[in-house]
Amino acid sequence: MINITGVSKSFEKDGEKIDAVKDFSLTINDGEFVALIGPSGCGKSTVLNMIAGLLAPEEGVVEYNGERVTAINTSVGYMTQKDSLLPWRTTEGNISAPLDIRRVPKPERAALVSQAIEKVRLGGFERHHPDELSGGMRKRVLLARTLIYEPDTLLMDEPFAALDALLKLVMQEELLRIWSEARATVVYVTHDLTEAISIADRIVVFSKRPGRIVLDLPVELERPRDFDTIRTSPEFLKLYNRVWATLRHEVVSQEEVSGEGR
Amino acid sequence: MLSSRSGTTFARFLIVAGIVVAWDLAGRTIIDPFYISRPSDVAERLWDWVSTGYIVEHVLTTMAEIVYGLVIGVVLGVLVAVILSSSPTLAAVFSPFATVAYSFPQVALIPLYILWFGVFLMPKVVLVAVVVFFLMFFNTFEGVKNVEGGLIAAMRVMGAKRLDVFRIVVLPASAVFLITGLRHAVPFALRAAVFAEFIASVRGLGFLALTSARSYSSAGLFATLMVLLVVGVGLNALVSWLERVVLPWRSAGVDVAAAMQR
Repeated sequence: MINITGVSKSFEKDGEKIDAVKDFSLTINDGEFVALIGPSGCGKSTVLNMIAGLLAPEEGVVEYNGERVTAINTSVGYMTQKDSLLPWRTTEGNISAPLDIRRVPKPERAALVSQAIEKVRLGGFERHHPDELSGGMRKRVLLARTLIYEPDTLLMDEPFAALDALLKLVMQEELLRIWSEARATVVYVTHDLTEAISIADRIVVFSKRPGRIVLDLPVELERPRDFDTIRTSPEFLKLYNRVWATLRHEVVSQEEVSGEGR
Repeated sequence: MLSSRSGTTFARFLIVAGIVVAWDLAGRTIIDPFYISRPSDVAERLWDWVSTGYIVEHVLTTMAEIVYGLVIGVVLGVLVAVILSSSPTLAAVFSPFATVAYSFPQVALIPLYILWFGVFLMPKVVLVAVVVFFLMFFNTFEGVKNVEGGLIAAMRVMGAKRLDVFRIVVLPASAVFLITGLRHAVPFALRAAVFAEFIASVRGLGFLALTSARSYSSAGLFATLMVLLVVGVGLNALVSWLERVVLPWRSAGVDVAAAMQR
């Protein structure tokens, strides 16, 4: 269980203090698949970084399984939008990095790695270096590396944002397939509403900066979800319209404030 | 029919042969060989220098300037970059100085080096070292910053301790900075050494070129340029070889600096 209570965090940019989140609270239950959605710069990534212990809140408390997060939280797996593969390691080498860090004996490591490679369907690319892989394949390596040490919680920050629409769909399906076996808690940051509704159990909508929660909705769509049909089902559309009405208001008012249309 | 590869090689051979023939013809017809010499005269001069061993001390002098300068510049450049990147305060204090010093034309200091260190090996070594220092410093500093942004945070969340980070990220990444730095630094080292020899010297390839020109020996000048060509290509080949040995994973033409920024 993740308990975030009354946290605030600000950054300095060009000598100006900017509040990323202010008096922000959120509780995430074990095994939940939560999508955090909101306009860009609304503090979603800041929340993930605080759960991972990479950032300390200025005010408020982040608790993970009842314990206050004060250092790097190694119970989580963190998949960032930025590709953090080691360019000098092969697919196998990259995936086994967490096992290497955790001092898992070599023979055991090899077995786990080949299992993971099978799971993300990268057979045949074990000895390839990241530079020799396509964008989608690199995401698979990152996913396998994040899952291999079986973290209780997966933090995912727009993990597939850089991929084209079709590949993104494939990766979302793969993620759900793998998640249905692993059953970890997932905190998934995105600004793609269709993606959020398709994959999550619960959608948390952020306001524009400083981020507050303006909507917190369960997604009551049955699992396993069939991506071919789910997006045209009446329940999906109803949910979509409901969330979009809120989200749109935040995105539009942000553009009016900052004056930057994108 | 030739394969495309041997076809390419053959085309290149034709180009070189064409240049030599055109050179020879030009010397016989429209241009006085006083200015451009003749391929046969240059070849003869080269053979003379090599067979008598006359060229050896000049090559060795220039090589010594480059090698000593490289070693000093690389070691100091990497060291200072690592120190500054480990302390944001120091980096904030010193980085404007580095930028100013880098903007300054280093070669303008040659007279000063001559005043301080005389006309023998020392002033050239110092110039090469200074030029190499800045190239290595900026290259390593930028590289370390990129690594710290993504790779190290990712490893820390997986549970990496200081020593793991060093072993898994910092050490292999340093090899990358070293080689990419050398790629840039080695051609500049050769330029700096020859240029410094032009200003004041008693030995070396720059000295040889200048004395040939002063004694109106175009054959000697072109022969020196040929030797410089061989030295330059040789040094480059040495770096390539080092790269293959140290970074065997790096397929030809892949820009690792770019790969790490991804």
